[in-house]
Formats: sequence, structure tokens, C-alpha cells
Amino acid sequence: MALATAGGLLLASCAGDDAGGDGGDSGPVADQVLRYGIGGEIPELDAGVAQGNLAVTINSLIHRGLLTWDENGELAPALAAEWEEIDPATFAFTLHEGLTFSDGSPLTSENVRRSYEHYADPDNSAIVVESFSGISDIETPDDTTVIINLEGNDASFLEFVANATAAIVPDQALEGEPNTVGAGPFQIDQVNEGTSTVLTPFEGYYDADSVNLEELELVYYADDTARTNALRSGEVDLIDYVPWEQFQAIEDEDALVLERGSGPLMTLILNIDTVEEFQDPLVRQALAYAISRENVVQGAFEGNAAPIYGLPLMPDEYEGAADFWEYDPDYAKELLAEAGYPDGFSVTLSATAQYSFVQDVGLAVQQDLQDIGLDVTMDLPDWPTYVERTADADFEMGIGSVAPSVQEPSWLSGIVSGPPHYSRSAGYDNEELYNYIQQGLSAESEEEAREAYEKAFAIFEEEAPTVPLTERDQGYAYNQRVEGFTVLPGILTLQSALTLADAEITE
Amino acid sequence: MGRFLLKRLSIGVLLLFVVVTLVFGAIHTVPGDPARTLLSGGESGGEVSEAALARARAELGLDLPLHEQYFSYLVGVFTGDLGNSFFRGTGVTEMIAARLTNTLSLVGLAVAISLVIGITMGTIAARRGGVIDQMITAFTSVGISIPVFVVGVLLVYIFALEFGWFPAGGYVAFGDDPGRHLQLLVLPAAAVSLEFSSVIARITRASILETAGQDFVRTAKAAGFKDRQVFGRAIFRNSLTPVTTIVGLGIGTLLGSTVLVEQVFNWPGLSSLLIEGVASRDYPVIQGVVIVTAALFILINIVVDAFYGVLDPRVRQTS
Repeated sequence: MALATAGGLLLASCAGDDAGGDGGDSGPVADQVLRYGIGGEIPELDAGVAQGNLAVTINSLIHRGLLTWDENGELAPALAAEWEEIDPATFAFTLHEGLTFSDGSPLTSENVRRSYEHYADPDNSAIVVESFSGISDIETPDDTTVIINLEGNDASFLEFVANATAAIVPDQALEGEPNTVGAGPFQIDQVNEGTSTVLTPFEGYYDADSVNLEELELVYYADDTARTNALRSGEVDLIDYVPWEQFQAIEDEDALVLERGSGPLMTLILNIDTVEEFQDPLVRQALAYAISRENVVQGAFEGNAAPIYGLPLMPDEYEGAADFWEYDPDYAKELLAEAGYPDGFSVTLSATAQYSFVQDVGLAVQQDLQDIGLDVTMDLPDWPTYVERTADADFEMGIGSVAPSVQEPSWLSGIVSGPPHYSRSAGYDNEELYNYIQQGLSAESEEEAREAYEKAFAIFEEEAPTVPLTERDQGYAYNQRVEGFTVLPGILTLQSALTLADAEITE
Repeated sequence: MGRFLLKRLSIGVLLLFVVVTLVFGAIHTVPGDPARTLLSGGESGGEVSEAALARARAELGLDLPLHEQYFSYLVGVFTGDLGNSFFRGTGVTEMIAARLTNTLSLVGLAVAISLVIGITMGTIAARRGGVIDQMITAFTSVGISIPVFVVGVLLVYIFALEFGWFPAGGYVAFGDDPGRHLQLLVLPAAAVSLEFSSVIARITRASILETAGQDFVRTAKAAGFKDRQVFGRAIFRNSLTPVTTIVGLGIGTLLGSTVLVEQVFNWPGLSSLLIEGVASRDYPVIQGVVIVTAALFILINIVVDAFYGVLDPRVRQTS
């Protein structure tokens, strides 16, 4: 019947091909129209707040900060034509002349000051608050000069300045209006309910001549398979969040390109406050040795992830120092016995069923922990419930997710200190560890920083406050005709839409 | 008939009030803070300060006592204001209006296909009997038992990815490009209609066979009417009452349950809006979609009741 129906209505198909053509080979080439399949509708944007991948994507397209990232993951000038590190705690930026926002209003050093003061206020939950709250003073001697004085050295400050959420925005976005007016390469032209958001180039962008696309349509595909099928059938030119089980199929297609970056880290988080067993570092170490990261990689990511037996995403000079555990279930049992739990104990492992890969990570961990004698019960609420429970420390053990904001090792402080959150264990407090991280961050020299961080890593190894599991591959796939789009390396991967400013459609 | 309809409409309004109350109570009982979900994003999102949470709750009206939120919402519903989406900031009425059109076009085409194919298959099976009947019965068994998302995935694989006759999914407004709109609508409507046409075929077949054994049919035959006249005037028309009931219930159910097809084909309908609302704890969207779906369900059943009278004069007299 379906065959008959489809065949009977094929005339409509033919008519559509002639009339529409937006999924065929001919339309986008001439028009420089790129259709980008994203994972869902874009939320109402709130200046500075980390609202997830969809918000990061559109922020990367319609906004710019003083600095940005180039295709190699190196800092690059953006709204600031140039910058200078006067000393480790003082930075001077010179804006391009004649900058405007996409609503036509001028963008001056005063906008920089007001934006940064907003982000520095802890009440506004900006992703860069940890670094920006260390700003002691912002001088704006003229419309294009900004001098920022920090309270102390901050090796990660410029990385935060380049973060896609640390954009310079007009005042209305700081007063509660949706953050949709920016000074980035594109501006929002049209929002189609439930379907797509259409962007067009912003002529006032400081580097408008390098923008090749005439239109960029962000098409919503909540379903991973539907998004992948849309790419394979030519409905869209580019997709993100490629499902791991589709990596191989896309790599096998000549017309498509799959690029991999680094996704958020998957970790095991513990409630140290309420679960007595987890208060013993030996038990936490036992968990670190008990879990086969390879099982997690295969079970949840079809092999498309890196097993982590220490601290990942560290700069090259720290890699060896941050890799310390191994899979050794017998040693894990010994540690449990030494801690006084030779027969194991019962515990509930929470994850979320809303993201199937998080659930699959949980199932792989459950199996390994049961092998060392723990009685593990799975709890799989939906995402909002999981977020609330972890924020209320209403869990025993959970699957955590960490998206570091900077490449510098100080991101480690975010998983060892702070209020309960799904990125860290609840109730862990180690002043010595935290202080070493802060010393590394504010060090006067590289040697001093390295010494402090290595001490922090050693404590992390002994304490295992949380257990990193995998660094998953984050896949972007696109048609061969798309050129200039690049997946940014490491923690910058989710900001890869930055490179669409230079993308083009070719023959 | 007029009084009957008025009475049914009054009961419908009362039912709607009950639905509003139940859905309001239910979503406020489910764990998951809308403000925290909104500000923290997905699994790659970030942290939220208590001050930011408090401000967001105040902006969303979630800091008010529950009874105040309820009465405020109730007044809004009965004055046509369903509030603004927490997640998107836009008006829920406008969001639903856009999505409802899409759902109605999907359900409308699926029902039209199902009626034509289902009644035709049911009639052929009942009249021909034998091997044809067995084949149609077997086909409808398969049609009913295959999950709709499996049908959807198969249709995408065969007609979009292999043959390239249809797009794999997506949406274009009818006003922007009618041909493309229909092209995109065909596969999802076909997926939805497989099960529904199978149900209609079975009901039609059973109803025709039952009606054919009635006394008035024998009387018509004894009076010398031709077979075709007997079938058309006595059997077929009288067999449509149970089909009408099933179609009425089916349309109501489809309005709120096409979510799997919408996901597979990326068709922006009402069901996927509801799922998105639940996933982000967008209370106004959840409430709005449930209320509109319930109102449509009630309305369709009133129309079906009225249609009984058209088919059967005895119902008109009773009403």
C-alpha cells in the first residue's frame, strides 16, 4: 500500500523537484546557500550564559568577541584588530574603526566595558564568570581602546575573551532582551516556526569581504537519523552531532566528508556527601581501576571515542603526567577490601535516558562495577529531572558530562570544586588540590605552573574525586561541495561554526 | 439535533476545563525545574547561579504561589491567551497555530489515503471472498502489526535514499512552494496511513458481511433489486456507521500521536512540539498543545455524532 501510495503521488515529487530544487545539486552552488542541519530549535538567547550546543552554534555565527579562534585553534583578532599583553595581569585591545551592531547602532569600547561587567557579575551566570570576576578595572580612554586590568595573573584570561559566549553585545541584551543582535558575520533574517532559522551576511561585520555565503539556513532536525538522512539525500549540506553508529557509513560515501573533534568528557560522578562508602579515597580509586574504558567506548560510541585513564584534554606538555590509572578489576577488589568492603555494597547509578549515549555509558559502567562485587541499580530519568537531582545532590552515583571552557589545565578546578552539578561529584572539598590549580593558573612562569599542576594531578590520582571515562569524538559531516568549514580541535570543537564565516559552496 | 449539539458542546467545555486542570497539576508535579533546564542547556551546557535562577523564575512567573499561577493560566486559556514559551519566548498560540496546520495536513492526507484504500480493500475482501479475502486479511494483519516508525524508516530508505523519488524529510510551507510541500508530505502520510487503512479495511469488511446478513437485505433481494442496487443502497451505506466511529476516534488519536513519524521525517507538527515542550519543561507549550489536542478530539467526536444522523435517519429521530 505504501508503495502504491508513493508511486501514485510521484507526480507531486516531480513537480516539487522542478519547483523547489533546494535539495538537488543545482540550487545552492549558484546561490551560495548553505543548509546546516542542527539538533533542534534554538533557545531564546541569554547573553553570556552557557545554554548548550545549539546556543553556542548560533552565538558563533551572529556574535563576535574581542578575540576569536582560527581554524588551527589559535587565538586570533576579532572585534579587536590588535591586542597586547602589557603584563600578565594587564591587556590592551584596539577595536576596528567604525564597528556597528547588526541593528545599526555603534559598537564602541563602552559596549565592551558594559558587556564584560555583565559577564563578571556572578548573578548573571555567564560561562566566563570564573575568569572575568578577576577583572579589577576596565579603562576606555577612547571609543576604540580597551585596557583591562586583572586582580592577578590569569593564564586562561585570553581564552575566555575568545569564548563564543563572551561576545560584545548591545545594551538591550544585557537588560533582559533576547541576545539576537550582534556584530558577527551573520544576522538573523527569519525564524520559521519549528523548521529553521535563516541567516544572511551582516554587511557591517569587520571582515565582511571574506564572507562568501549569501544565506545560511539552520534547519532543525531533532532526530539524529533524520539529520543524517537529510545530509545523505542532499536536503542539507552540513550536519553536526553525527550519531556514532553512522560515522563509518558517512566515511564510506565519496560525496561526504566526516570530520571529528572532541566532544564533552564523560565521567563518573559520586555523591560524597551522602554515600558513606564514597568518602573513602580507596573506594573512589577502586572505581577508577574497575571500569574498562574500552567497554564504554565500544558500548556507547561504537569505538568512536578515546578511553581515559586520567585527565584528558591537557596541553601536550602535561599528557604523560595526566594519565595514571588502568583497567585492573583485581586491584579494584583489593582496594575495596582494604577499605573494608570485601563484599562490595549497593548503590544506585543515575544517568539520563534522554541522551541514549549517556544511558549506554551508564550500562557499561554498571556491568564493570558489578564484576567487582557492587550491586548497582540503574536510575534513568529524563534530562530536566537529572539536572535537578544532581543540582540538589539527590543521587548516589551518576554519569557526568564536562565541557571545559579553556585549553589551559585550570579547567580542572571546575570538576573538583563548586556547588552540586552534573559535571562534578557532590560534596568533594580539597583545599590543597584547589590551591595547586589556582597556583598553576596565576603562576609567573611555565615551570612554576607545571610544578603546581603536577602536584594537583598527583592529588587527583590519589583522591579520584571524580572518574573520567571517555573523550568522545564529536562528528561533523558535510557535502564535498562545502569548503572552508573546519572542525576546531580539542575543547573548541563545539565552536566550529565560527569557521562558517569563511565557508563557501563550490562546484 | 440543535439541542443535542448544544448539549454536547456544553459537556465539551466542561471536559476542557477538567483537562486544563489535570494537565496543569500533572506538569507541576513532575520533577525538573524549567528555569534550570532553560539556563543550563543540554548535556554540553553550563552552570547556573542561584541568583540567575531566581530571576528566571520570576520572569517566567514560577515564583508565584501555585494557585495564582493556575488562575492566571485559566483566565488566559478562556480568553485565548496560552502564554509565551519558556524556551523560545514566543507566543504559544502562534506556535501551535503554525504546527497545527502541519499536523492537520499530515493527518488529513493520511486519513484520505486510509479511507480510499481501507474502504476499497475491505469492500473487495467482503465481496470477493476466497483467496482475495485471505490475501487482504493477511496484508491488513501486517499493516496493523508493523510499528509506524519502522514503516517510516523503510519508506525513507527505499524511496528517499535508494530511489531518490522523495526527500528524506523536512518541511516547506504550502504557501511558499505547494509542489515541494506535497512532495515532503507524501512519505509521512503514507507511513501513518498503513496501519489506519488496515484497521478501516478490517472494520469495513466485517461490517459489510454483517449487514449483508440482515433481514432488510434479504427483503431487498426478494423484492427483485439487482445485486449492485442492493449493495449500494442497503449494504454499503449501512455498513459505514462503524467505519465512521473508527475514523472519528482515529483522527482524534492521530492528532496527538504522530510524533514518531514527525521525528523520522522531520515534519514540524503538534506532537513533536509537545515532545520538545516536555523535554525542556516548557509548561505553556505542554499545556497549550494538550488543550488544543483535547479540544479538537472533543470537536471531532461531536462532528462524528452529527454525521451518524446523516447516515442513519433513526439516529436523527432519536436526537
